[in-house]
Amino acid sequence: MNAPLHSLNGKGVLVLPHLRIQNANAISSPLTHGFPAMTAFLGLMWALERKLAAAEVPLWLEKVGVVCHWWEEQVHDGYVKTFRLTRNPVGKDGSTAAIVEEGRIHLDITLVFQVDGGEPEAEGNVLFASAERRRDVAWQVRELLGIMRVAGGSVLPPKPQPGQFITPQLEALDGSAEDRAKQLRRLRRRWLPGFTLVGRDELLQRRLKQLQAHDEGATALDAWLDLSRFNLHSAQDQNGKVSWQNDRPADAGWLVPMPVGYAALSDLYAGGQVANARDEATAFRFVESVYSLGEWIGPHRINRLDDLLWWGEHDAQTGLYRCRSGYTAAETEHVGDAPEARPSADSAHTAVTS
Amino acid sequence: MQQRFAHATSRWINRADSVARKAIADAREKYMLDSILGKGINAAPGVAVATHLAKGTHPDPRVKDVVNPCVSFDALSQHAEVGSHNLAGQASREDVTGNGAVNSAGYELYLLLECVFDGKKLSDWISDKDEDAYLAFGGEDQAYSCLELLSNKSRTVATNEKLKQLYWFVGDEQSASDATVDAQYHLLAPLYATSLAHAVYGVLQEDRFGEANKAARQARRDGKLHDGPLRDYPQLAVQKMGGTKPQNISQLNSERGGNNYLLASLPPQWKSRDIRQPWGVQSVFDRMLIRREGVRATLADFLAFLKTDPPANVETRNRVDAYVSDLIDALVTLGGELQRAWPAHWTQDPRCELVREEQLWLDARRAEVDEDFGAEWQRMDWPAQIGKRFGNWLNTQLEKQFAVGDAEQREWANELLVDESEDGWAQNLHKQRTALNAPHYIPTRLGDQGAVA
Repeated sequence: MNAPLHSLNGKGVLVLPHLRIQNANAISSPLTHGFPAMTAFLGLMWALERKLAAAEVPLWLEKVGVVCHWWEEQVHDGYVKTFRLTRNPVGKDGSTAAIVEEGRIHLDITLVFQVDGGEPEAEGNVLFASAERRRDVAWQVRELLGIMRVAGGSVLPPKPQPGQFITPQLEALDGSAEDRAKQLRRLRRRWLPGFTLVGRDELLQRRLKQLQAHDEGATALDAWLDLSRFNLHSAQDQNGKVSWQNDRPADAGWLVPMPVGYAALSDLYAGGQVANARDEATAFRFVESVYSLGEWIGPHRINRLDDLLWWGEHDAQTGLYRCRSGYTAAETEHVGDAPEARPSADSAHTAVTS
Repeated sequence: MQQRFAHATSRWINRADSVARKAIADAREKYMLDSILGKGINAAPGVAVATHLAKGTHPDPRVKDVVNPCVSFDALSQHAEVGSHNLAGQASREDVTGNGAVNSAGYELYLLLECVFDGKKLSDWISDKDEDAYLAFGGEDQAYSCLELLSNKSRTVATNEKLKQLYWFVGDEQSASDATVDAQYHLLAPLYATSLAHAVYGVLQEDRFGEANKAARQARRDGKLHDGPLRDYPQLAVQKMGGTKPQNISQLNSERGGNNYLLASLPPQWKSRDIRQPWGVQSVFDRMLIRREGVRATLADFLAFLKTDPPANVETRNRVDAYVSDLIDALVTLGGELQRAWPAHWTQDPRCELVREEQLWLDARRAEVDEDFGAEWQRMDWPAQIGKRFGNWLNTQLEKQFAVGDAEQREWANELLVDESEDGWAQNLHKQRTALNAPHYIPTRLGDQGAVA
């Protein structure tokens, strides 16, 4: 089990700003589309760590966060969206290949990693090296990432834009809480404008309890669907004017359904027991996607670096493979982040938060 | 069986033409017991009853060659997350996959075997060697042939190279977790949860096309009060599975018409039409910044705090910093959105009356095509000027309770919007200009700010 690492001693932050990704996978699970699954970014983190080790870069990646600055999903708009398909090559014998619909999305994202540089006092700890050395290492990581796939998409070469910081940053997390707060304020300003994904599992549980108060048989699936849509209710004011209000949680803004990992469908098979596996050595398991809720918030809303970070967990007992968010909802309630409403095919749709 | 028959014939029921008569006759024949048994037994060896499909990911793998799990929802771990375990306690949720031509026949037989008689499924009565059950299914041999449908079809535990397989880092409980160690991974093969997808499809289909939602939508269009809720799924997408032959994937996929609904996880995004262009105004501070979410509230709180005449200590300092920081965040966000949302060179429009420094800030790309503008941009006086404008604006908003000093203005200018490292846009523009031999001057402030910052 990957216990989250709470000690920040000798830890640092690595920021790879404004990565332009082309054709990332937009079908993030059998029930969701749009932004790639967080599990894809965990996979990227693990793969990148292996590349760092091979290149003898003394950094260990522990958690990952994503800020999305811009996206363009390759879909046809309509009452429901459909995916713009690419023509796939024919088979070896000239027969047409089966059509498997794939969703694609172009992205401009900033990746934020919590990193470990090793022993704080050790000489090799790059987090405490000179600014030049840290910048070189950060660029080295950026270049390694440039030849990797990010959620199935390719990374385009860095392209400077006015007003954008594209220079990768590597720095130690500051010691005192006050210094860290200042550091975060400085870092997160460079992630504007944009939105970062945080976990809101507690809202799912809360809605489930609300539903179960009326219907004992209600399940997490019912609660999830209930929060994935707008339930608009009509009301009349004293002038007789009818308006439609939704029942979204007051303490959430841009709430979205999202896949959060995988649950076991089978026992764990030892390596080599399952035919046609990608390798013969690794333990193998059939799984399905599991789902929860996330919220996109402006990076300036986060008060701790951990708020935007995700890490992987595995529960051997229940067979759950889960990405966890470090977000804790702020006590002060704010209703709705910047845009006024989630866009909807229904153009008259403005009765969200105001 | 009656239900399935009624459903199949419902769309023909009020018609008397030959097409309708034939459809009803076909359905009647299909839903005869002998027919279900006969066709079902023929189909049984080639199809698998399953809750999770390999073909949901790729249509190629045959049921004999890969595992298509048929899990008991009741036996799955009850996670807090949403998944197939939420179907626990609900009967007859399984799908039939395999040979597309006979999935349907297999499915009808499956539904028959699922029927509960005296608290036990018919399939269990057969397994328990009940004579009456044998009789009902046309004798012992035929009854066992029917059970063949429920058997595991995959000859070995196998997956397929065309199916998704991913590595998940699980670490190590005994020694240190290390993502470079191969042994600390599990290989996960996600399969398509067809039963769960079917439950979701049922809800969404009803919400999109059902009478209740139709009435609610109409009431809203008419501006009338309505009892029930109107349900709407923002940015819903549909994925086609199986192309023109959804039956080749599975029976339930066929019943869904090959349509798989996908809910959106997309972040918000501004489109240029969401942001009014500031025609006819000299500054975005008063007209646009003040209207940003939270800006008025922050200013009000800030002013109220200053009016309490707080002592000059660290706490006050931190609090003031936090207020100012929030406002700068709003300013940076506004600038970033304007730069992104509008076409380059928009400040050249005659309707634009913004002061020059705001033009330089908000339409930097114009520097690429407009030589005078470019030269001014590169003189780099504008960030300090914007910082100063921000300071003046803040002073006014705070009723001069808070004196903004030169130091702050300089600091804000540094926050404003330009990556002055050698990789940033400013230096790139500089290089372009050098290449073009155009006059240029650009101060580099790398030394002041630290190379990485």
